[in-house]
Amino acid sequence: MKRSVVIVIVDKRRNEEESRLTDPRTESEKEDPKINGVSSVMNTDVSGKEHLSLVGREMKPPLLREPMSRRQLLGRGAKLAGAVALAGAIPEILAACGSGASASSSSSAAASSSGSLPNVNLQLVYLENVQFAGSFFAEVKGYYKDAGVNVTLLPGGPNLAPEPIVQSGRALVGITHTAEAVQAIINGADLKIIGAGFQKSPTCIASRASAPIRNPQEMIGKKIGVSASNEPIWTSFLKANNISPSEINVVTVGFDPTPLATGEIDGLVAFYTNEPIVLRLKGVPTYAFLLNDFNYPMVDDIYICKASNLSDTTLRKQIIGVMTGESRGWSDVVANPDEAASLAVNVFGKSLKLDPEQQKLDAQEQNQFVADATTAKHGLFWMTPEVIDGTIRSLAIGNVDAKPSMFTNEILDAIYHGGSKA
Amino acid sequence: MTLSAKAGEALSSKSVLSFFGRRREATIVFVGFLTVWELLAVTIFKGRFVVPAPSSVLATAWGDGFYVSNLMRTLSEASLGWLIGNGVAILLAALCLVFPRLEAALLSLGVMTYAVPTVAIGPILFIIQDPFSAKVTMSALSVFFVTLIAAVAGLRSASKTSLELTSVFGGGKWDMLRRVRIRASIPALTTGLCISAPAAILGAVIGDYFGGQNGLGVIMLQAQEQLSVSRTWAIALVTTVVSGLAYAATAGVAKIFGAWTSVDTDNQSGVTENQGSNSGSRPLAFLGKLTLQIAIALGVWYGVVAASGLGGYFLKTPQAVWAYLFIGPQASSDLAVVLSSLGTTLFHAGVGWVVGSVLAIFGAILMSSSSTITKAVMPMVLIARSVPLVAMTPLIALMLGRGLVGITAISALVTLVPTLVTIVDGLKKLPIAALNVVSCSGGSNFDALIRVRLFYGLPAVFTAAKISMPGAILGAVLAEWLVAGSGIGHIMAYDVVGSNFSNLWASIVAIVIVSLTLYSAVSAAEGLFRKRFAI
Repeated sequence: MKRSVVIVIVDKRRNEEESRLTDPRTESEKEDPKINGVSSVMNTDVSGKEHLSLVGREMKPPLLREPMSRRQLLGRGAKLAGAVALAGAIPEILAACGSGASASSSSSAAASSSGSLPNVNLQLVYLENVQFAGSFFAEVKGYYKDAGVNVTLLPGGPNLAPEPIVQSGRALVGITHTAEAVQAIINGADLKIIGAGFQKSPTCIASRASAPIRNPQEMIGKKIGVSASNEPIWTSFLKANNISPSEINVVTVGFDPTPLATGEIDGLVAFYTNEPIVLRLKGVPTYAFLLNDFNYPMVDDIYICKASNLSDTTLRKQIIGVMTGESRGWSDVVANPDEAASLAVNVFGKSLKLDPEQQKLDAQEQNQFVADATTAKHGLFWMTPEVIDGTIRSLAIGNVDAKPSMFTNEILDAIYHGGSKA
Repeated sequence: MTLSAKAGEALSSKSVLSFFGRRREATIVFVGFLTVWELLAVTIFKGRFVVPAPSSVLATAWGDGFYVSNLMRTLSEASLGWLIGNGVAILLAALCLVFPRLEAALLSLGVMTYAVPTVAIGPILFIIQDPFSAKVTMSALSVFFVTLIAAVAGLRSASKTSLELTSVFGGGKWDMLRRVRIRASIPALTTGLCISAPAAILGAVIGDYFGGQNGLGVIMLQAQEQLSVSRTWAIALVTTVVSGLAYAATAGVAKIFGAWTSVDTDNQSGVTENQGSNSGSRPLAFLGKLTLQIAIALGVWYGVVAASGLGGYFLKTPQAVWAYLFIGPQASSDLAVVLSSLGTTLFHAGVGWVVGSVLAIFGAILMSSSSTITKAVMPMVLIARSVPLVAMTPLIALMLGRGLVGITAISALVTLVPTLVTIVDGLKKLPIAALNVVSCSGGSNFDALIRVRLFYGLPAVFTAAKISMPGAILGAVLAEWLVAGSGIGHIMAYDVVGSNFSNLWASIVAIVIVSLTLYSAVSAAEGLFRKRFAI
């Protein structure tokens, strides 16, 4: 049930060419052409805004010893963002946060216009960690507000399914897993998949780097650990690769990846950004291949909304607003995963005491799932017919009957192309 | 309804007092326990992320200051839930006394709230309410039944003499309630309130499994996610200690208000006013009661569907569930899935219940034969009662695996503690005269045990069974939901992620039917037994 984000450990394909994107401002400007109509607000007065926050801090001494809470920060963000774009000010606020001093003063100089924006909820599929860093950026940098919506993030958990929350209207948009959303639609939910946060699923087969399993065929004759919750996907994956379960020695495991480190098992069904990173931090280098790369393509961390809302002018606008914020937020994550991690550790997951090293590695590895050639061409979250088709075929192996009509790019189209095709 | 009197009295004040009073033996056992744990951790479990040494757990808890804000959040949810759940329970219990006909109905309502797994209705609560309120509701639901039973028992325990006196002076039912019963109810009620303190915390922690920014459950999940086993254990430890403290604090407050000073009740003799009126003794009456329970269940069900204002997609009406299981196109296969997974769950729960009950009976016999053992073990038992099951489930699964052993262990644990406490108290409550007869006739302590104590202890076994049977099922469902790959709990977990509400409702109904049936059957058996032996 619980799935989290993943990571690529050995695979170091992700590289320096993205380091050019480290300056968030430069990056957002680069992304702007894709977000026309919204971005213009942001470019107006970056320097003025920085000035504003600096002046604010001088005017009122920081509340010493009392680190700013997430709510305080967000409250302030809300006020600031209404009048001016916030992008330049954020690193300073974060820095203030990290050092334990408060930048609470800046609110005093801010105008408040967020009151008039519609309040909507975005339901996450798990607890707040770097898996949702795009939403964090969108919130603290005011991207949602720039796009005309006041978004509250609802954290998820292992027992919470986002689909009913969206279906009931408690959340306007939800982030969830593909098979679950498709099943909800089959079971009568009036939902549409409107974007893919991950172009490919992070589910992988992890092995020790010293005895790597590089492809499905190499699993034959080996001991592979599979947890109960991963069993359906495992069975389908074997089928997709024409491997009989009897050819592999399957061991039922829990969430503890130690058996892989100790050699009790040779491979483990894992998430690229989770177990391999945990093992790496414990000094055990791993190799991992993605199921996605071997006849089991699947989008993941998909965005859903109610299908009927798409034809409601007001709600459609709000959905576009949420997705615009997500798109800009995730552009920032792709450009600057380290800042994404610190946002998760120091602001949103502050009360959870996330492991900074793990979140950093997670954020770095996660980006390859978010951004690839497809998104470079069409924009983030875009689902090409090939990707949709591959996902439907993979789901069909597990007898989940997905249809192309369950997916739509119309919201993304409206964001990136002004809705010409919508 | 003598059951309630027993249940309330069972988890009684004395064990709590001994918790505070006799520390030496308990300390020895506790230190011994820690030593064995430490030794195991650094030997057998060494190098695995499974069982950390208690020293490292303590070090982690000490070093991780951040539990406090999460603890506060959980406590605020739990205390609100505790107030609401207990308030409603006490009100309804009082209503039962003024309108005795309502009692059977209200108690079966209580059993229903107890039998429905919180994890299963959570998804609906989180649609209807905001996350904070949903957690408060889950917490309130976790305490409702325990306090309802205790309050009914307490209000019933007023001595006949006092009641008759009130009546003679022209007092009506309200006067009896106000002047006599409320005062008499205090000991049993206090016990209910104490027990519900850890239960409220547990309810809030389960709520965290549906998401949150703050809370003990949230950080525990996060710790598991990051495989920091020491921290997972440390948070479980903190949760347990806080639950124990909540129990002790409630008991302490009650003591300040003189809750356990002598109250005029008939409990010590085991005689309560309703004796003999237990309708379970006649098969027809039993059937009538069952029909009434089903009618109430259906009424509540329709009421909830109507009140929630949610559409038929989320909330299935009784006829929708009926259609799903018996009429629809795939009805036979759907029914087969529910029945076979229910069978698996009942097997898990049954094995766990038998193991737990047998252990409890042996434990109770041991304890009743030696006060040293009682003093040494009882505090550990009370602590075990405060352990939040949801916190321990993943840890038990880590140690014992996700198969039959792990699930059985969880069911057995749920059974063991209340059964043990109930029987120990039941064994204490026997006529001294009967014991004297044995010793005067030259019988040994052992004879006294076999001939007198066990006999008088049997009603306590029934009382315990009424609570522990649904409890064992609940434990099995929870374990299946959280860790195992089989049983109805597992199916329900999949229903939730796959939005299969028809099957989720059908499963809930199946569990409630089984639990209510078991509860009624044990009540009936108890009635027969009491009638036959006139105790």
